[in-house]
Amino acid sequence: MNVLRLIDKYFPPKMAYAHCDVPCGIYDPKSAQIAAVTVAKMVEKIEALPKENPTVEDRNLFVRAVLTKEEHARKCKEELLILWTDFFKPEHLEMFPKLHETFWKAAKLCSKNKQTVNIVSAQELVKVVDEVADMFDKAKAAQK
Amino acid sequence: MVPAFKPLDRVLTYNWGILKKGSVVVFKSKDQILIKRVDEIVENKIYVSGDNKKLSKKVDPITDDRLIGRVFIKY
Repeated sequence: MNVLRLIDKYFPPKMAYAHCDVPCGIYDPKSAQIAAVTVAKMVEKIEALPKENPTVEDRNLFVRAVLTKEEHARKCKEELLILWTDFFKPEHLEMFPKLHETFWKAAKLCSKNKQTVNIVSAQELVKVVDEVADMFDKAKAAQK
Repeated sequence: MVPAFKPLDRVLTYNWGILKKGSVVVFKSKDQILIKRVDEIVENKIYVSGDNKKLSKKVDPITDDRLIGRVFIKY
């Protein structure tokens, strides 16, 4: 963890926006879905590696797969945060009473998949991100 | 402001010295706080824009009273 982030404890940062000066309406859950699937693929690769007498190549693949899993779990969480805070509005809570719960669960699973190598957790992440994408598609359809 | 700044990046700013073209600044805009890069400074007006030119909309030039500070570190 970046040591400087300890500053946040005493001086909580305020949100600054960079994407556009007005909401641009360009959102897509696809990035979060791809990231979630990548996490699951990496877990499969790690679990498929030999437990006994791994070769140098096995260990190399292990390290790369863990790094990729970490990066994509982080990216998945970032993409989810953008959808949750920027796309979904209070009126969507009527359409999707479990909206906050779903995002919270997805974010928690992103963290869990960083901390563990577990295909069940990885598949749960894919499933819940698909649920977010489904809510997004329905919300977009209702806007038209 | 990707790739220079990504979602959830933190920045520290300071508000002294001379502002230069290319500096990244944090400023108030209506009811939001924005982060953009300085394009040019004409008299006391600071013209800024986002790094992502395809998506970033034009922002009115800002003045010192709206400026929160210049970014000096990202963490």
